[in-house]
Amino acid sequence: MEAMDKVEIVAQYLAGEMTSEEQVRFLEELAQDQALQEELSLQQDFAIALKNERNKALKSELLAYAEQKAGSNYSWYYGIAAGVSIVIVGLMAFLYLSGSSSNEALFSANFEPYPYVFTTRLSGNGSAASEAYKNGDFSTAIQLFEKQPMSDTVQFYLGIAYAQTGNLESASARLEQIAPSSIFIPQKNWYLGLIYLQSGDKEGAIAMFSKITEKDYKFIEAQALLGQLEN
Amino acid sequence: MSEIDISELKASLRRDNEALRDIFDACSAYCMKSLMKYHNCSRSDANDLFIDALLIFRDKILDDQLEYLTNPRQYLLGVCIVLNKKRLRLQGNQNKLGLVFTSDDLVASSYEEQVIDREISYEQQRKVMHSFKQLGDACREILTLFYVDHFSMKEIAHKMSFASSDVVKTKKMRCLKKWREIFRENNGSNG
Repeated sequence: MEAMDKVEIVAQYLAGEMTSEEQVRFLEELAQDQALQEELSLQQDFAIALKNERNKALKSELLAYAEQKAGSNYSWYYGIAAGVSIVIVGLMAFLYLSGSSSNEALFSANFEPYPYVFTTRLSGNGSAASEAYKNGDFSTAIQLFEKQPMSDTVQFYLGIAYAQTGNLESASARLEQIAPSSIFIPQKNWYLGLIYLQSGDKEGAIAMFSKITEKDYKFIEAQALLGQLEN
Repeated sequence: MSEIDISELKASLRRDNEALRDIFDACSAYCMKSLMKYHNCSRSDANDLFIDALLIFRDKILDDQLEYLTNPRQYLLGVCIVLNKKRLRLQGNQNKLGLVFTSDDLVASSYEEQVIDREISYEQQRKVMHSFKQLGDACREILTLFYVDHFSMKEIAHKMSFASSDVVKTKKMRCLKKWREIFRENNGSNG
């Protein structure tokens, strides 16, 4: 890559304008090309710095707004409020009305199949099982995964596939068998929490979400769900 | 519970800051009350945490990092709790090590973890912005619209009265390269 090309290619990558094939080629090249790594780092810093600057200004505005609101004279506020568009009013009504939730809604809003990132080679019809999972054919994936030797990763994907087909009992049974040393433990805690939630076991769900630590998969979402379940 | 229409929320947040203030009005009392009652925060800390959480929430919506949202108040409270834990941990480290962190350190550190998962030092922030301010008005506007406000080329063309999105694309690249050149000049090749 020429020096100028690198600038454009990195910009294209960061803007999400590459096809998946181009992304793969870019990442392969990135691993070997120090100049490309430096360019990526520079452009990332550029985007972050711009965003930080905007957020600094927004924070000052919001702090001033909070201070004004805390004051005794609210007359200016009503003037602004009157000018808020119908779309915004509708949106905020929506926000207010969304104050309560059912476990089922929380489950469906949060559950999505874990991406297939299985790197261990499977025996026999293992590749057919992984293809079925990747294609969203979870019933076939279950049949084929069940014939595999039971490793933690097979148990994990089986659990997700069972949950996806609505068989929560088998899903939780599979996920509960994952060993504490498995790399899938944070993911297990998230999915098992959702499954317990859907099954009406609120305490079980809280226990699972509470195990998800700051660096883990879905930490923010778990904190938000805990906020919803505990209050 | 129905999901919030994220695309509508995103459009409102991009339009102006009214939507942000509306969310502030709808959610601040609930989050601050919870932070003060259950998480040992003073009113001032709770206010600060809530505003930081609101900005993280805004970034997540604008960056398309939030695919679903059922309850913004609870989501914001979740982010506030994360920020509070981070704040307490940093304060603990500060006490142990005798180091002094500013409130900006706390915010930046939280951003690194929750939003951008990448570190940028204050020195680098200063260098980037110093070079950025040396660009012309049009370049600054194009780059801000693209990188901060997430406008498409077509939207930028419309807003800035360019003939087409292709013109904006070329102009944006020229501006980025110009910034890069100024940055290198100001800071040497290792900038």
